[in-house]
Amino acid sequence: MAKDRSDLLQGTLDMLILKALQLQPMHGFGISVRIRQISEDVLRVEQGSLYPALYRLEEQGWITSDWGVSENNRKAKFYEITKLGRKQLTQETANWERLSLAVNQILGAKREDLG
Amino acid sequence: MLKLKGFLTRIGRTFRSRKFEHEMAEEMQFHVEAETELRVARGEDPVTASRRAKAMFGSIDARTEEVRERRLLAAWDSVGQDMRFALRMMQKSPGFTLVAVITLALGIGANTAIFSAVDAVLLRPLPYPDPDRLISVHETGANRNRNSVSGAAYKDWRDYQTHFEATTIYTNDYFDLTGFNQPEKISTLSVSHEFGEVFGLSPLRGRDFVLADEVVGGQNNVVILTELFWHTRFGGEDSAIGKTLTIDGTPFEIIGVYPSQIWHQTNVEIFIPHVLAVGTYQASHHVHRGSVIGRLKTGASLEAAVAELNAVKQDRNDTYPDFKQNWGVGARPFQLALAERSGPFLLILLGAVSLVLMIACANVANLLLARTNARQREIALRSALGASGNRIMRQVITESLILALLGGLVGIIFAELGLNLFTHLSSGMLPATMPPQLDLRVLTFSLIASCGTGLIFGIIPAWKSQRTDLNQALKSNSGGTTDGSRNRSQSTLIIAEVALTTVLLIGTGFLVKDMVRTVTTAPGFNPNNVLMFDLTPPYSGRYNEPNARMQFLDQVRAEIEAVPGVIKVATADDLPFGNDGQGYYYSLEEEPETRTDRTGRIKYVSQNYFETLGGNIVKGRSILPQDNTTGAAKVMVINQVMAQTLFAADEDPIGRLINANNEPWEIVGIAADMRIDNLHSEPSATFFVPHWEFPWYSTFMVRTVGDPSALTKSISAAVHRFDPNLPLDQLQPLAQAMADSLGPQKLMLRLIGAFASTALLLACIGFYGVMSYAVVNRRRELSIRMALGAAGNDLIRLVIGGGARLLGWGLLVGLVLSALATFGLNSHLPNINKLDPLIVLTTVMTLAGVTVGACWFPARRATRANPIEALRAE
Repeated sequence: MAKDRSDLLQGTLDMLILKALQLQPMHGFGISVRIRQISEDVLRVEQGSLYPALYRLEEQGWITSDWGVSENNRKAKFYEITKLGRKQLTQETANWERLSLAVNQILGAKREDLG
Repeated sequence: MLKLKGFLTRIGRTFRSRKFEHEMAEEMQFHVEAETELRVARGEDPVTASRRAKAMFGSIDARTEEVRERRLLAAWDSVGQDMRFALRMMQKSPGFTLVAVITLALGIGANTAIFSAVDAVLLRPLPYPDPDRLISVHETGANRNRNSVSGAAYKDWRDYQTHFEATTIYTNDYFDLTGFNQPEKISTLSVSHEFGEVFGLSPLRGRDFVLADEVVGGQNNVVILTELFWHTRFGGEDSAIGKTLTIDGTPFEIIGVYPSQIWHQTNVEIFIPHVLAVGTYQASHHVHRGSVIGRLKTGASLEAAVAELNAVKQDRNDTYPDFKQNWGVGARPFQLALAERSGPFLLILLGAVSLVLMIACANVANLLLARTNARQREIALRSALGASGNRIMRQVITESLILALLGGLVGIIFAELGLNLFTHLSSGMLPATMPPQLDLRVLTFSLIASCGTGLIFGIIPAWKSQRTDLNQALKSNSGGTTDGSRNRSQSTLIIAEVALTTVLLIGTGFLVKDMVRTVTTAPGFNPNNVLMFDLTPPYSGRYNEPNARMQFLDQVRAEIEAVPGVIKVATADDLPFGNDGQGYYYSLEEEPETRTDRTGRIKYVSQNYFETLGGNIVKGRSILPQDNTTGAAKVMVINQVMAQTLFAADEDPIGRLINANNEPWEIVGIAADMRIDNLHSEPSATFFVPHWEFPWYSTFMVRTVGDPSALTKSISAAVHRFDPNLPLDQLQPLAQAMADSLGPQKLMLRLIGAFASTALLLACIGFYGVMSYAVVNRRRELSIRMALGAAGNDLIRLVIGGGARLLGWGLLVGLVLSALATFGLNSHLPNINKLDPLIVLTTVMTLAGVTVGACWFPARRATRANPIEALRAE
């Protein structure tokens, strides 16, 4: 059964955060910038939902946090993806690919294939 | 592992939320500043950049508030959901809820009531500062038995000990108080001057005792009142200090008032100084009437203190009489000494009542299990919709806790009622200044018991509910499945209930058997139509020497005998069933080496003693008037127990000499054993000697023609014609005292009997419930059997067979538990040493009868059902 819209968005945001952290640990601001980059500015994360998502992901054990020093020597909280998080990302990515393949197949079916 | 860390993070954040919020704010502040810098780097001017960044983010406060609210909401939400769901469930099935709550209320309430008694006697600290340091010290006899303390021994302890801050000796004495409405006998405590110091309490008014009050020739005639006495007789006025009380004809000055918590015996009305005057019986080595309490120094150990006192005794052994050469000193905590009599029985009661609670839990667990079965589909659905197993479990436990807490609340009402009843029935049997009450400690116990109960009976259904096989449940087209494991849980619970009920029933059986034995054993005398009272004249004035007292006794006896309706009168040193009594070492005169081997009960009696009470002299003669005169030979009458102890069957005790109290006595008669102190135990070896030998205590027994109470007035008048200032104390018919002496035993029987009955009722209900439920489940199977030709009776036998199997297992486990308990409790209840076959048989038959009844109705209902309909309904 379909999750409602906010759930869909929630799931998507989670994946985007994990994707952003895939290569290296970052602080919250850095994550929001990166998401804008990967999606070529199509998706802008609503600032208000970023941090609640980060706290939730941490409680679920998909990312961990630690205080550190930023590029310009200021105190900031850095987030890092965990093994569990990576596994989650791979799974969800696989799901998306399967889904999009199926959708493509349906959408790309030639007129003759339909009865 | 990481999930655990995440979980712990969540818990950590709940507790250190303020720190977390601070961190959140810091983090968000950084974000806004970083966004500002990025914009500046892109060319915006700083002011605009900052404004825009802040606008994008929104107020940091608002953001943190959002996070906080979401987390709180989530938490509250789920708890609130569980509670609302539980309450809705309970409303939907009010019958179930009512039965469950009442069942629990009975169990928890009964436990609370009994616990409050246990708390009052065993757990609550005594109302003194540092009560653990209060120690009761006693002398120990040659066979390590506890003995009351003699003044001389106390003096040694007091003078030579180093481990106690202070020690005190006290005795219970009775004196005549005149000057109020009429002469009365009052109970007093004679205490040494360190009394207040040892207990750590000072007088409310006036002053405490000092050494000068206690020394010979000092101001001995002073008295301290109890708070109650001060209020009732002097209205609580300060002016009471300095007034005088006339005690035994002597004026005593009131010097102070003690607070009521200083002494636990509420019948004690005043305190007087305990004068250890050399040459008086108080200071001798031969009279043991005292009790000693000491307050240990901080950090001192009880063992070291006792060892020291024993060493002191050994050092001074040459000042001790021959018979005390092998005596010693022992001690135990004061609280233990007070709790000794009732402690073990209260604990047994608590054990019994917890069995009832466990049975109640088992019943409610069964109810919940049955309901869980019925809600299979709903649970399966919720699981499929995403509820985790944990969540479902949590919901069932929430429901259980709510039921249990409701049960606990109603239980408090039951407890209050039960406690009132218990206090009424047990009056006099528990230490008086520690009345059981529903105070904070007890209510806390009740709360804990309720929660514990809820968890206990909730855990099994909760566990079972979350292990539901989803596919099976959703596919099944009946209301519930015949889940084998769930039925097994129910069966196990029923077996447990039967086992516990068996234990309680067997316990009741023992008590009944004991009571029957006590009541039907011939007491050895005729208790009917005898009036008795204590008439002990004061020790000063005209009654201060033996001859005067004996004369007094003779004259009063004659005066009473002249009253119409009186048949015979006798006197003795103590009252029947009086909890009093003196004893001495006794041995054959010609065997000095056995001097301290045995102790026997001594009774000082007048002539006509046996005749008045209806006792029997089986050989020789009774005490005669000539024995009660100056210069008479020392004679004694022994009872059969003593005769059998000392002499072989073919020997004649008459004429032989017994050594008691260091002098020889001639046996002139043998009396049949009388259970005159205690109906319950075997009579002890007793010797009866002339009252003249010890006229300091005197009680009267008057045999009357008809109802003894009818002659109370005329007998009192007869006594007062002789001396109007003498009170008749503890006046009542002997039969009354005898019935009262059975009080504790009756109470125990009533309570255990009540618990056993409750257990039986609960087990019966539980059995009926489980059997009905099982029959409903097997409707299909039973219908098929009927369709295939089975007769109704066959089905009934099938169902009852199932029930009988449960019963059998339950009885087996119950009997094993009972046997174990019998061995365990043997020390406290010496009459119980093995399982009486009659009791076992009665128990088995009772339970079997109940079980068959519980099975029969559901079974019959099953056979009534039309098989076709039943099958079609599937």
